[in-house]
Amino acid sequence: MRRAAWGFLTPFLALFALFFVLPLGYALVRSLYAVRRPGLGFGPASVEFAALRNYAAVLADPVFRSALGRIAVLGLVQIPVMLGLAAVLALLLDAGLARAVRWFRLGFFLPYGVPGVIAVLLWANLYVPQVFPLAWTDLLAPPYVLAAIGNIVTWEYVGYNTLILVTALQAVPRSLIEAAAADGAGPWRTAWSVKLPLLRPALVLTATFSIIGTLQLFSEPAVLRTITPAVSAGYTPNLHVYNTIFTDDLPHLGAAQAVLLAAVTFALSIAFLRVTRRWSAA
Amino acid sequence: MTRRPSAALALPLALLPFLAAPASAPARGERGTRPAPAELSFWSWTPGVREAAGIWNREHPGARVRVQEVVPGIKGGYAALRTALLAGDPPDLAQIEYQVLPGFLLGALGGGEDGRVPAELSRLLPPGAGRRFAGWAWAQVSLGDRVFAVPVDQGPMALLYRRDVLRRHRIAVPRTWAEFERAAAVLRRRDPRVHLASFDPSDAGWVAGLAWQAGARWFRTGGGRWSVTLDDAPTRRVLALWGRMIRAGTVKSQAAYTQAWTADLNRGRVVAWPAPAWGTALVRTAAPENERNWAVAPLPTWGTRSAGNHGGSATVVFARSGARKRAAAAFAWWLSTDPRSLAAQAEKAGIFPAALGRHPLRFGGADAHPVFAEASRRIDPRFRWGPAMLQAFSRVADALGEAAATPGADLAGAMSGARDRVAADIRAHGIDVR
Amino acid sequence: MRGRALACAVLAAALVYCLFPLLWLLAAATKSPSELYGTAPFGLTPHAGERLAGNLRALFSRDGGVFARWLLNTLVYAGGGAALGTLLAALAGHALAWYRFPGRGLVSVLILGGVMVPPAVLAVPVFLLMSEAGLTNTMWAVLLPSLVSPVAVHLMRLFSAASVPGSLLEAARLDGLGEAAIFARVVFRLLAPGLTTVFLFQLVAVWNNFLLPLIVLSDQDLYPVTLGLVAWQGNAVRDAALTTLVITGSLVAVLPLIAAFLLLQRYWRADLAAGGVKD
Repeated sequence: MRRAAWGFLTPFLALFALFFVLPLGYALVRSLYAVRRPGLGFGPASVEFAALRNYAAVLADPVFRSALGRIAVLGLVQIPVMLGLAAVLALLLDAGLARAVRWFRLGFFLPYGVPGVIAVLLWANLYVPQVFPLAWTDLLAPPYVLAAIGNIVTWEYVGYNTLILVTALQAVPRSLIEAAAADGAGPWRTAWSVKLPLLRPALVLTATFSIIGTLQLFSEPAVLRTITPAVSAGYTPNLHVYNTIFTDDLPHLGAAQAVLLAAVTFALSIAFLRVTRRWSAA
Repeated sequence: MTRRPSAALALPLALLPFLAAPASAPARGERGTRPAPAELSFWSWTPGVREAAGIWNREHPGARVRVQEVVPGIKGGYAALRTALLAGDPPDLAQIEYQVLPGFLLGALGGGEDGRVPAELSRLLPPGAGRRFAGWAWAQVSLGDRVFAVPVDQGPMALLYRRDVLRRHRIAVPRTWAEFERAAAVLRRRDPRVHLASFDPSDAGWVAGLAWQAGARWFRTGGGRWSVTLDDAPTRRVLALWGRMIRAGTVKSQAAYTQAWTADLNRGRVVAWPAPAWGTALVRTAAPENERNWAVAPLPTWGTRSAGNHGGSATVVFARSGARKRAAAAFAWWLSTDPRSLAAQAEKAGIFPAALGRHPLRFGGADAHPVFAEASRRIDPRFRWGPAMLQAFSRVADALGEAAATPGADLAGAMSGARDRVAADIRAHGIDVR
Repeated sequence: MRGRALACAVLAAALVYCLFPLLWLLAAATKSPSELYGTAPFGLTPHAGERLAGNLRALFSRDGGVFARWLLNTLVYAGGGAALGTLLAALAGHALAWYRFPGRGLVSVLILGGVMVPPAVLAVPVFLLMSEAGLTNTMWAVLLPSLVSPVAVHLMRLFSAASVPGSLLEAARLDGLGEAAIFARVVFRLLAPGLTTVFLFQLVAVWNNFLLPLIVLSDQDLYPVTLGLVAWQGNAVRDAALTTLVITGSLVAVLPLIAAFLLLQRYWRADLAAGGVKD
């Protein structure tokens, strides 16, 4: 039995160790070193132990902080908007008020199948007034570009989240709903006071994944950066890590940024699950 | 029912045999050592380079060059190049802009970095090679008497403008920056839909070109250390002018090379552009229907005869082995000096060659070469770039972008903050900064 | 009745939001670069058919027909990665759902932790590992890491626990079937709805992964279609023809995936519903 279990696990665990555990350890070690290039930098270089100096530098880096601030704003606005919309759509679909429910679900779901990169290339045109008159101004200019990214992410994932919530609603025992109907509750009231509370665990789950996804936002800003300079090299933490390592040629500093980002993601996810545990169980 | 989904898995599984193919494809396989006959890989984003390589390949079947069109440098090309260098698998040749070359040369004089830094070329190029190029461009690719790249093109700056619009509003082509400021105000009064020019706070290279003309020097070396002077007096004077025009609303703060910017040029909403020579090709792309209405004049001056440069690229060689390196250097030289190569690049990309000589450059129905050639001769060769310019350009863009969006538009003041950040960035590379 | 009208209006508005960008894409693929500015965004010009054909021809002939190669690569990366990755996840999920063994708790925690590790943390070490093994700039560099999805294992574990009756496993064991045979002949079929779901999930995850191929591939012949289109977009400012090619290419790239979704989504939903009723 035990042998069988490990047999089933081995292929996955081997690759997991190779592509998750080992790299993470390597990044940790690397973050403790730095390159020294005395003089003008054109002469020989040496790699020196830097202890926590890289971490101190990241914490003092205004770009890293503003990147975190930017996605905090994005997460606090975009996630509630998207999940609120998804919950409304799921409840409306489940209430059976509309015909052709299947087609609605399919329509909502389609953007999920469009890769983020292509979604950005597509929306980048719709944000330019000269191409798409409904854009009232250049929405890729600095004041709007964060909202522009939020809209793209919402467009990609609102249907996907709607579908998860619809599935969760189908698991609601029909007897509960019938009981509510027998008590004289209309469809609106049933949705609000019977179904919505039962959606809480699914909402917590989708919110957790959305938080992780927002913290890891990379391809949307990376692609927009080839289209508008309003997205800077350090626009989101992940983009900052990438550019620090591969554009600025500071792999050790980048490793420290990445490790800190992982710690933030970890802490936020755990904290969110803790805080919502009582709420979702209620 | 339960069987259907596994059919979805069957198709991709059937494709797996494809996987065997790419791993054994030529020109990959073992790192560094590539099978003969030599095919040199060249990463470039200049349109026309592929056509030029075609000419070379017909005449040099033993040293064919395969061009890979990469994303322009700062948009991703440099990151790709760094990645390939880290993996120990760089292309044999690559396009690099002058300002980022010092960053790629870190450690180049230390030895033991073979294949990780551009090859030293002085003994692989014909004798007296430097005299064939604009002096300031040759200075940019040299460290002392060592040469690390072959200059291809340059970006001497001039003023591109809509002849018809200025004439209609009876505005003379500005010869000084004071006249430029007045012209912007007059044009705005006569047609509120139109701006004379736009200011791009995100393009630090363009700002540097304007400051260069005014006599700025952003980086200096002395006593084995760098000093950073992004906010020297000439730079402040240039930015004070643009800040005033932004405050007055007579120029538009807008990122260049975006769709919105392209559309503005196309529809005559922005009618002048202090631009490098290669900008002529962008205007042609943006406004193909009314290119004949455009013209070129010398950049307005600050009262001196000095000119500025924006952009331009050189070719570096990463090939390691002797024969490959020689072949790569020979191609780099040919690319920069052969008239057919330069003509192919000029036709598609409007490049202005770094090699001296007459290279016709058509723009707005006239030859723009004399104006740009005159500008090139006046570029200050003492202007040097620092060792971490991609970061520095980000810092400048962040600082100017923020300042341009704030009511006071204190662009000049923003440069002091950027200066300190840039110095800290250089220090983060372990390099000594004053 | 007012309620029903309101509900329909909200749903219809959401549907328009989800679909109009795709409709715009369809219309834009029938235009030339200069027609993109100043014509009605959803309108068709008189020579729409001609233009579309021209755009498609240009798309598939540009740079020696590299676009077709990108499509094929994407199929290998996303299809192959998702199929094999789903299989690995099914095996691991099954083990975690149905076996008690020392280390099970630790493995579960590790896998859940893996969900939260940002890809950028792993990017450089994975990349260096690949270059040590001489695998950078090969298809393997994209495929191998794509096989590992902690989320997929987690999902398969939940599906396995919910849709495989324990009694069936016991009965199979009494019949003398080995553990591997039980998985292959009994469990695998029961997991089918879960497999489809996770397959789609992984397909989209690989398809969406921009960072990994960006780092490990430098040869454009190996690019997935997403990376290729971004490379073209980056050059569009110097070559206006590329603007239209990126739009037409996006349309061509998205169509097969949408077709796959139309096909698979039906099975997914039906099977999930069936799984929900059972118990």
